Amino acid sequence: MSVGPLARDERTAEFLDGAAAGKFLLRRCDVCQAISAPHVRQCGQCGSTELSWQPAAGGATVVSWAVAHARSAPDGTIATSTLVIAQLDEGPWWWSKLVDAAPDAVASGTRLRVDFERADEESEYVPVFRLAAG
Amino acid sequence: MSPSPRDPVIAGLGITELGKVYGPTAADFAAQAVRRAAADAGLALADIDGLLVSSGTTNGVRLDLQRDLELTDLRLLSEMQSYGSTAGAMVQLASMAVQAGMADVVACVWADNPLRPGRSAGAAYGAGARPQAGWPGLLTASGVVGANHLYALAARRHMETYGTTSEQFGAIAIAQRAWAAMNPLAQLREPITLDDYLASRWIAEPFRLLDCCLVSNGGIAVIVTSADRAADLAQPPVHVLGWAQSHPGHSGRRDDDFGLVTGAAQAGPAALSMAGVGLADIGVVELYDCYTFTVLVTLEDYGFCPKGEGGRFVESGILGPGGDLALNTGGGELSAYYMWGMTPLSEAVIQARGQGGQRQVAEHELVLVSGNGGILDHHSTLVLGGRR
Repeated sequence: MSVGPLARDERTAEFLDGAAAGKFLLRRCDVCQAISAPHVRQCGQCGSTELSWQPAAGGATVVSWAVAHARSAPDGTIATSTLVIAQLDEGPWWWSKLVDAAPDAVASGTRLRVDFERADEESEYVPVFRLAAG
Repeated sequence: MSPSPRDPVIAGLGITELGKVYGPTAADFAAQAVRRAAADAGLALADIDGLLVSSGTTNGVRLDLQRDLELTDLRLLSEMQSYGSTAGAMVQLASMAVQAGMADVVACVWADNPLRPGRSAGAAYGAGARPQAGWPGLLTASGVVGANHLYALAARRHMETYGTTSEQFGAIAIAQRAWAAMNPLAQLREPITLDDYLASRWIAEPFRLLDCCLVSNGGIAVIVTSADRAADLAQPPVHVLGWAQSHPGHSGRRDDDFGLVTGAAQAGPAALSMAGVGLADIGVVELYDCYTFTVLVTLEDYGFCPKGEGGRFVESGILGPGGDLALNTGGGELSAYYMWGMTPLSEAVIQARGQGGQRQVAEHELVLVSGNGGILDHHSTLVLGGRR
């Protein structure tokens, strides 16, 4: 289990419905067609609040990465996780965990693809990243 | 700009006991800091007619500090919050109030008490419910938790874009610890070497423990008044000569300069311009240092070196006592105390007054002070003067 528990609220409901269906939903402006991140309240380009949902293609590129070290109680072992800022091919950035990859497998420019995991059956699906194949 | 009797001046500085101090609440620390600042200035509490308050993580310093201090007839009272940039922002608002004649004696105070006995500093700063719902919950569930992770991502971007190295971050930590050795107020005073730095445990790569600031309980207040009023008070006046803020906002998409350029690039030049001075005139520099990286990118953005060359600049030998750049002369948040923006501001006032003792910088007529809040989101700059 790579991700933590998550509950939805009114603002995240549609995005999380997409996540459950294996889609990373982005916002497309009805006025200028610009693509924005899922959480925006207005178009990043023209400011319009008329937004629709559009699934991302799923490809992304590493903008930055970090390796978090956490002491896990009670035995004191150190767990590491690789975190990334990924630029989706459509433009918006997303912050999440890189799963099933060694920390040294990633650098700025590394190609990724979006995937989804959930902590348990009561929890929502959360977007994560994997190394893109090939 | 010709001097005016209403030019703003910092006339009082109050610092409580700092560090692992248990018992007082943030409000208790805040009240004590204001009392100490008034006493430092040679003022009575009743002389205070403006109060600006700001909280740390415990959100414990509120408007009701007025009541704790039994202050009446306040002409200015507000809670302010832009995180690490707030200390500077409070001095700015106080300065403008004094200039305008809206208030005469304004206390600006920040305090926090995140540390509890038996709880680690890391836990103290991670304490409190992590969001588990909605958009904030998504970040937490994704494993991206807190400032350490987000600043680490910023720092790595700088490293990969410009070739900045860990050893260069280490040079900042080492230099500041050398200054802290001479600061009786500093929590960490044992000198460190590059080997010590490289051996310190990982927090979130590229950050090691020695890249990250301390955690402290305590409070600090300053009192801003007019030049005219300050002339009769107890301390050498510290003139507030120039100021600016910058909150650039991040697009969060392609071409965002997160980790590469901060608001210091706008606010630094603006504050210097207001003061009518240039970078070469500055004798002492106190930069917000939640992380070593924050210092490095701020030096670039202020123009001490070209963008991307901060690493080479800090490892050139220019830092530390005896170096040509008197930077974070009390040890900063890395080695002295973590009072958010009050850390660089308090040391700036001490240096501007000539009260730095063993660590006093000879050329202290002009002091540059930065504040940084959020994740490189909020920036304030002050230019302080030992004399007009």
